[in-house]
Amino acid sequence: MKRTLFTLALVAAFGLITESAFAQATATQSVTLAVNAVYKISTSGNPGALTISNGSAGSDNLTAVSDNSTTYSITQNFGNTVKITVHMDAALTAGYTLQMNLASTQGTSLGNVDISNATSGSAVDVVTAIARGADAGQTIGYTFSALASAGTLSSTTKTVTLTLTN
Amino acid sequence: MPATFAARTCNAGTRACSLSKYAATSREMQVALNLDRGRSILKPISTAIPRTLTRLSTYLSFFFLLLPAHMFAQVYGSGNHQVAVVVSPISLLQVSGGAVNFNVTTANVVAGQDEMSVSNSASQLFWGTNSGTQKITAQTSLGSPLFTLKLLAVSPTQGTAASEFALSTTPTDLLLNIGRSSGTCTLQYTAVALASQGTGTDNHTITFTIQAQ
Repeated sequence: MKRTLFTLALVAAFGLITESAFAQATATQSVTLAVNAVYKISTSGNPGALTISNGSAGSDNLTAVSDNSTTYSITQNFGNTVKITVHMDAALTAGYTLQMNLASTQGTSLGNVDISNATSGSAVDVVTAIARGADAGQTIGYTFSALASAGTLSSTTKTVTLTLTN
Repeated sequence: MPATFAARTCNAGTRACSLSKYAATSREMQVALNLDRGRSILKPISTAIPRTLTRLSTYLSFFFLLLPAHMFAQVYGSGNHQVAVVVSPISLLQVSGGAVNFNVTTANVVAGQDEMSVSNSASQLFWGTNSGTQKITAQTSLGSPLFTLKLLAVSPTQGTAASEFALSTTPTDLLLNIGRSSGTCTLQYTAVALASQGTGTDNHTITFTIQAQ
């Protein structure tokens, strides 16, 4: 009798194990995720016109004007040696000066940088040592100054290009 | 004087036969025809039977021999047995769509955002189970991924989708409350990389498991 009960118990246990084994099923899938080097920079729009219309008597330097209405944002995952350079499509005539000042939390801002003669072949650094990650909504400051001796300047539009590079 | 007969008795079920002697009166002799499927098996040993009776017996034998055998079919026995039918718990899973490849490039990036994400919904999960209240879990083989890989079951035809979760080596619920049914859902993978994490590659093997909830 005991042997019979033992045998029944074994059979029941085996049955449970078998059910449990068949109760599960699996499937697999391969997923590969690759992240390449990314550089992204954008600006919020165009600044207002920079118009000089005042000066100080006895001074050749006319009263400079500024615009801080625009911002830039960057995202990069390349490294910690990334920088922002700036150049214009054409240099300004002598006697007129355009400076830029880019704020930065991820890198080092070089403050007011003269970009009057910065063209595609001679871009100038404005922010250096930018760390990996993102920096959003940083202020772009423009300061335009002129010498009285340079005369008047009819409305001139310059295209300023900001480049995120290493 | 009674005639002595040797009678062969057969069992249709076991097909075993035995011979036995017995005496019979002339009347009994006429009807003591033990027919086994239409064949007479009477064998007279000695006789003091009048010739007319012998002839009558012979005629009767021929008469019965001419009758169709099935008219004398008899049930010699019956039996029964038990048939055990078992349907084991069965659960099946299949993923369609093949391997998934994410490639995060500048095109997937918004300037100013550290998080770069890419989604893929090209895969589907199919399942079937005859067990009640099952769930499907998912896990990855990659112990220390560089980036985050999220998974969400979209539009399941059966059961309830769990919230989107980041895949890890620990099985996490993908679908809940799956009853006895078959169904499908879309697998929505979302790769999330931070620019601050730099570049790199993760190779995952995702394992889906259907099991009791």
